[in-house]
Amino acid sequence: MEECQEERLYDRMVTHEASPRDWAQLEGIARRDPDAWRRLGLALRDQGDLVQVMDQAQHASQRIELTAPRTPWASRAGWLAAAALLLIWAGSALLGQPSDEAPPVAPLEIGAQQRQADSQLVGELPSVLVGTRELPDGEGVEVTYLRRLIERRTARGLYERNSDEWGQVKALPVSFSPALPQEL
Amino acid sequence: MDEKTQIRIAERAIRGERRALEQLWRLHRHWVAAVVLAHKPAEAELDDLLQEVALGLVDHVHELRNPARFKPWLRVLARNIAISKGRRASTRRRFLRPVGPSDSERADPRSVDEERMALREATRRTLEATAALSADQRECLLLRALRGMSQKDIAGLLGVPVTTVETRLARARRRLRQQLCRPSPRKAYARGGR
Repeated sequence: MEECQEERLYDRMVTHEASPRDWAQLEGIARRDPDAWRRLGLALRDQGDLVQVMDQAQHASQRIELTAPRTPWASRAGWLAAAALLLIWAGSALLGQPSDEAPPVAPLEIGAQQRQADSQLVGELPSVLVGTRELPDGEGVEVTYLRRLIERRTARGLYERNSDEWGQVKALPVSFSPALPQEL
Repeated sequence: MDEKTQIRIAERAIRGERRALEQLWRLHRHWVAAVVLAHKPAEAELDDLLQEVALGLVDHVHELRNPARFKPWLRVLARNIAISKGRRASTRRRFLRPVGPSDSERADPRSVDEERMALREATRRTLEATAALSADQRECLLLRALRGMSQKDIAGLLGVPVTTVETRLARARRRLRQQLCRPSPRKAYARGGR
């Protein structure tokens, strides 16, 4: 028990928290057992080494900043982008399926619905992710992507745009021949 | 920074404020390093585990209900990551021995110079000698080696009475001294050779 008390004294001494009373107590112990001074010296040495160890560890911790994964949004930007594209694809895939209740849709989706009402939009190929970036306020992510819409139009006459010898643009009638689908 | 201000920052971080989260990390990462160092396996890299803790903080801080309990919560997160991920990392390293500098060393060449070469022999020995202590004792001892960390602070962090911290420190210091007073095999050999 007394040994433990002595170690407690050392703890306060090596961390510069010892009071004059603590020092008087150690002097009392050292009168009976002079080796107490040596033990104090060793405790000081160990504490010095431990402080160095922790200085190194703190140096390591200071290299790690929370700037890259700023928010849970940002830390999952890749997944978010993929999820956004999936939602867009799913939304466009579901267009044309009648529903009693119109689901909440983004302005882009409203535009797509209107185009479909005009019988222009046939479908959509999977979107292509162009890039993502965190919003300046750090509260979200901007996803840039390419939408590949398939539209259909009806033409009563086929014309080819051309220019005459004066440079004026003219529409010249062309004969119809079935076109092969182009590779997208 | 006083306790109330820290709690307010924790509240903002829980609500999802990025700046508050960054501030929290800067405030507490120094003692998080001590906790990780105390509980990680010897082979696991401190840098890797600190990154895991930082990511864990971002991912899970919103789950914390009481901002006043932030510090004990972060300490448990750091300890669990050090134990679980550290074990996995050390298992991997047993099979995959690096032949060149690690990623962290390549990113910051100072880490080789300052942390390995300039690490004094005595400091390295001291760290190795802490392996003889229990994880709880080692944690107290390393936390106590942080400047300005009182026994009361440590007790608050660990959720134990101050007397428990005192006892752990006393036992840890005595054990450490006993360990370090033993001649290392290398020194014994050197003495024998002279």
